[in-house]
Amino acid sequence: MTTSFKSGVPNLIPYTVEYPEQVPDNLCPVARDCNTMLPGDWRAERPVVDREKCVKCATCWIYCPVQCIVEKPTWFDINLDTCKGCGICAQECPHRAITMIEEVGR
Amino acid sequence: MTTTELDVAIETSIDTISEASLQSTTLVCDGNEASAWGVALARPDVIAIYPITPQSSLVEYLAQFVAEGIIDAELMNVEGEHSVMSALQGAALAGARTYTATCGPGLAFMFEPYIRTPGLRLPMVTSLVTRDTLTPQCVWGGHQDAMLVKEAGWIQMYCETVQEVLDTTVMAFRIGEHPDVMLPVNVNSDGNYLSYGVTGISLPAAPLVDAFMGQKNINWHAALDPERPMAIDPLTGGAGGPGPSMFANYRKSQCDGMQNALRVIEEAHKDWGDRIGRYHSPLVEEYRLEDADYALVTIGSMTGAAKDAVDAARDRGEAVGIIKIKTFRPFPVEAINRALSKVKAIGVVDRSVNFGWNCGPLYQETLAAAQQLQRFIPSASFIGGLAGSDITVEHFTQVIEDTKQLLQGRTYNEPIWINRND
Repeated sequence: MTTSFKSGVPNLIPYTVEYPEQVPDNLCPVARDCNTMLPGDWRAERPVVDREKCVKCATCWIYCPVQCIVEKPTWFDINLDTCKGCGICAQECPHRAITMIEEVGR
Repeated sequence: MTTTELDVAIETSIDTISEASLQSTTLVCDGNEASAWGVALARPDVIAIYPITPQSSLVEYLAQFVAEGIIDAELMNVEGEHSVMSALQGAALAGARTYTATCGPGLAFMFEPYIRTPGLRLPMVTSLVTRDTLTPQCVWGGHQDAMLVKEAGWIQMYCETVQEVLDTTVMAFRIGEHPDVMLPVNVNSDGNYLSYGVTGISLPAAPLVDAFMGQKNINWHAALDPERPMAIDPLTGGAGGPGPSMFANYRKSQCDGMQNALRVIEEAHKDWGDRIGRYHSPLVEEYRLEDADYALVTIGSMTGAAKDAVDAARDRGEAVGIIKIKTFRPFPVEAINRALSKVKAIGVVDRSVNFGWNCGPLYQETLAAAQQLQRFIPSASFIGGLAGSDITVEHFTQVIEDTKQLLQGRTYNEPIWINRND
């Protein structure tokens, strides 16, 4: 036999266990605040618009895969929070108004 | 039944319960049915199942129990084991006590969500009706599937008898749900030998088990709950920012939970004995070890035959005992070293292989624990019972003889394959 048997008075008092007052912050990975994780945080190159060359043809606006091109009075600019630095705008711009600059020191 | 309803039921049952309803019932059943009865007594809320040999009849019993109203739970017949575990994770995060059973190729298909469950600290119970792994193609018992996932972060307890399967299945819920543990538990029963082995068992009275279980609280730490909005399992780790330290702390907490489980497993087994009347060895069982010169180290249902062989050897005057591992994860280093310190040689019998070390996994683990004793213990690795083959009393008699020769200075450079010449 692997077991021994002992009979006694039936115990109907429910087993209780104490829970910590606060949930430990190293138990299950959970998050209560959103991290926006904007693409701008991990961009390697950033587009820079030459306002002298830009004619507002909107080619960049059409091609941008994340729609981060912002319209200004006489040129188009880039929302650098959401720009992921893919360089498509610079490639497609018919007036060579956009150049990609390496992001350093961020 | 909701937690509140269960509380009321327990409260009222204390006053109105009759003597008769506190009596245990005697059943004649196999290990798979015993598992299902254990699940019934633990009152789960959600069960998701997919059948696989030799577990199939277990989930058939569960389906039958739910259909007959013996178990008041949501039973989900999903399309595969990957979905089983995924569905149960969601249910547990919503506060449900959850259960499933699987083995072999089913466990392999479950692997991706299976390894995520301990990290989410979800205390579900999954019975592994252990089966040898493919290939060679086989559908029979062996420990290879459970040994494959020993580093997945689940608590693993191996049962020896059908009665122990029932009792351990109930206890597993309480162990995993303890706030100091919060980890999923595998209750392992040998495919074929325990799954289909029929014996008389005692089914404890439900009110006594309800009191043993107490009030459940599955998702106090992480919840799918509009009242407590949170994102579960966001991206962690990496090389920069707070990631490395966060990830290391989550992992360390998992390891701490595992170590806490050693104490909680002992507490649960003692309380089960005090309340129900049956005491099982929680971590390691020492059998006829007090005056033993050498011992067999066993795991699972093979221990029954080993005990018969040791009894016969004792009658012949051999000073041999048994060290049986019940809790394999976390590995009970202290308990096994207490046992090892009593003997001069060991023969470790595995029902699976460790391909990397050309020995059994239990052999490797036992020697790793033994190095803390700072004493050389002559040892031999025995591998048998693969793919349903039987380790008989005659086999164990030979194992005892081979282990005894270690005392005379014999060494074994390779594992001894028990069934190789059957």
